[in-house]
Amino acid sequence: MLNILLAFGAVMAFAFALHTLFDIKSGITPLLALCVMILTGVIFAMADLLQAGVVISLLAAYGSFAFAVYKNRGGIRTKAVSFFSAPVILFCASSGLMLAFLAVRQPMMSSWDEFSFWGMARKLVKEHDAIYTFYSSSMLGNSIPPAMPVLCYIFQRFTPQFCEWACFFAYDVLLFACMAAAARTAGDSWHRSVPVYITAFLTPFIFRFTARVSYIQNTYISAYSDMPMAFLFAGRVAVYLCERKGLRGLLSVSMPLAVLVFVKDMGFALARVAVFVIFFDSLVCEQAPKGQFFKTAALKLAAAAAMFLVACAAFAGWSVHLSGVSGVDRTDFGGSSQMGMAQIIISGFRQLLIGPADEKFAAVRDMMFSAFFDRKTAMAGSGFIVVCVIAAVLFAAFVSADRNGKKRRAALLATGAVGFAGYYIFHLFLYVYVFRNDAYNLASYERYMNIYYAGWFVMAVCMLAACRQKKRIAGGASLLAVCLAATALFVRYTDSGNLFVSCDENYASFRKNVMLKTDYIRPYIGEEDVIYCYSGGDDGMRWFIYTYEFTDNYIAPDIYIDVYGLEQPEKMEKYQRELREYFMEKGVTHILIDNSSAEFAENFGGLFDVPMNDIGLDSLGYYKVNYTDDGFYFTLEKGGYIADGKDF
Amino acid sequence: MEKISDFVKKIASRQIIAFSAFFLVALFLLRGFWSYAAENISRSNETLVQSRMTVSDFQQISMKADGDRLTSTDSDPQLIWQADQKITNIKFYMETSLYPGEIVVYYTTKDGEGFSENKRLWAHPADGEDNWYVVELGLKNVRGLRIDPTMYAGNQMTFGTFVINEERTLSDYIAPDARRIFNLLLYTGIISSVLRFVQEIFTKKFE
Repeated sequence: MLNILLAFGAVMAFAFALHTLFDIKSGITPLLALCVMILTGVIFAMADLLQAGVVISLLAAYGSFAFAVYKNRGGIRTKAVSFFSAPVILFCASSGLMLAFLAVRQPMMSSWDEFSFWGMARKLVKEHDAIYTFYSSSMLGNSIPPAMPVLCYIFQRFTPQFCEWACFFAYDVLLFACMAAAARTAGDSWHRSVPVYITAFLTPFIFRFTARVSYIQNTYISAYSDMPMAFLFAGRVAVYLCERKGLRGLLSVSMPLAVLVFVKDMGFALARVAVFVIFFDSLVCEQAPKGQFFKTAALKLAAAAAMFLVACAAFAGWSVHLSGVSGVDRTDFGGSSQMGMAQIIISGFRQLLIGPADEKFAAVRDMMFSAFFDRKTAMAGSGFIVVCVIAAVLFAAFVSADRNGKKRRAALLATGAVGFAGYYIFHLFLYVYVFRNDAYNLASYERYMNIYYAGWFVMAVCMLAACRQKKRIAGGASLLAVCLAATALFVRYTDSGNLFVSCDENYASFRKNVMLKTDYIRPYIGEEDVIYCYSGGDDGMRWFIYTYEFTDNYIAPDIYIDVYGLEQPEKMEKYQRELREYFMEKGVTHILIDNSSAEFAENFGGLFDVPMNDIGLDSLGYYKVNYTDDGFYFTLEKGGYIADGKDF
Repeated sequence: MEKISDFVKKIASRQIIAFSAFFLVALFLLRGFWSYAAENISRSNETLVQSRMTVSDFQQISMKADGDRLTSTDSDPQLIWQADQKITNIKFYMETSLYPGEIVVYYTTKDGEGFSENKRLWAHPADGEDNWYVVELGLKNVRGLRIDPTMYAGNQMTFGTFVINEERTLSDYIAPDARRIFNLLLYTGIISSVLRFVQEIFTKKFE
């Protein structure tokens, strides 16, 4: 708790310093402060100096605060008053309340990718005090960049143990900082900032739920990177709207940009879209002085190129780190097609534009096309409806803007749409070339698309809030209308704010049920054990939870053995031979049976000294693997029933 | 006219926010008192009656009985009750071998109506009472009720009493909890922004 307050205090202190020393508008300073701290952490982490990096960024934050106070010792009161503008107050208030809520309820991670990567990475980083490229673990996604794990680490650098809800809080602080930046686009008037902030706060809900819910939903209690990416995407454009002049503007905008690239590979795509949006906005937003059109345009192009370079540098930095430390080629996406990035793009565009398209490509393309119109991705409706809503918000902004402002709003609609088309096509390629069977049901389609929709929607609301001087009635009224509509949707779909109903044990029940078993067997697992975990009928979730709970041990990934068309006894013979080879290769010492299955019992049952055929929901078996010259067999180390502790 | 205009101009932002917050608190309290009163009126004219049931009063679907213990045979076991009475809350005792997951409660208010997500609620563990779960319906004429006690197959459940319409105290209706605080903040923000905007229009002085 102390560590959390220390880190949050550092963000505020640094934000205050940025405001007083450089006169940056206070609303965007929390985001910039947080981004600088994350980047410092990431850069040090890549050199395996994570602990030191976090300490340095904390010291630098408090140091700059002391310096700022010292330098402005006369006028500190006025500075403090101007610092605590509406967006900063909203940021502090929501962070404080969220902290109180999380500290009381102490929710735990509960969903799929929190165990496969997003939560797992945070746990590893905390336990090893270094990012995951420097050591081996059971985690599969080692090539994903480390911005979010580092952010979480900042909030628990000095704690003795890994704390799950501290990660949620770290995420929320980043989200709230982006919302404060968005709220700042409304200028100094609090009654415009508040509706923007509320709309932004409700945006994750609006873009997450497609059906009525009133149970706990992990919107602000989540370690997924989707909403942070969406909000960094929007927050960066918001920073640009507030701070767009000169080198200082360029630097400010580059901070969230670099963080965005360091969140996830997809962040690089979003960063490029954001640069594109900003470049066109800067082209149309001001009339160039007569005769200097080309000079101004060239300058703006140079600024956009500089931002693009920052994004590329961030991307390249992590790629170099990966190939240097762990020998991973990041452009190799692997996946179902085993193709490199360039190959995917060339082959994808050829099939899309020229043809002929192969079967999988055509099927996925048609599905993606109809999904845009048919699949409900948000409360409001399908992707098409969402784009219409965004267009309507921008139209309201268009009506309430002056002549120059009209061009900017139209430009955001056009550039956002072009960016979206690119994003959509990019996902088409991902489904075709990287996803396996999941391609045919467009797995996680809503989640991926909503990143863009949510970001674009918040940008549109910023544009609506940013209209100046004239026609303030139209602008203000439509901003309030958007806020009210968002609230109405939220209330309609979540039973009036039931999002905070109890984070009771039931919402994480799947994990807790697996934990009944992990807690049972934990004392019997040795430090050096290499484990193969078998769970019949598991879709992967149980396996991921085991790897998450036993981070100290290596858990060998599941293996697929092709026995199609074979009859017994050839089938059993091949099964056993290949599994033995695999075990030898991975150095497996133990096998953990979480749930048996008929197929497994038939082919391996004879190898166990104590039968495992009946192991199911209420029981567990942990066996030692004994290798012989041409085979292997398993002897029970510990096994029994969870509920009453009775042994087999 | 002039006096009113002067008056409106002089209202400070913090007064607007304070007014909005007080207004909402008053509204919430009023609603709490009203619900409490409505419950007590229904109790006194005996349209709302406290009663007790056991699990055998329900139609059991996807469950296998083994003495007192019921085991779910798939991931969607159901307890269905054809009711015809006013219900405001249900509290029941359930021991389970696995964590049950979301406990969903559907209800209908008309004859021939099917169970749907529009009339769906969640039961939650009762505060400080192990294995007791509560669902609040908020005084409705219920014709059909369905409790889905677990999300998992193979969960062994032992049910105790089902208490229908346990009495509530006034503080249950008005005490601040996370949800009420959240609503208060959300609506204070919206209402005060609207009021400030109206003030702006009224005084024709834009920031």
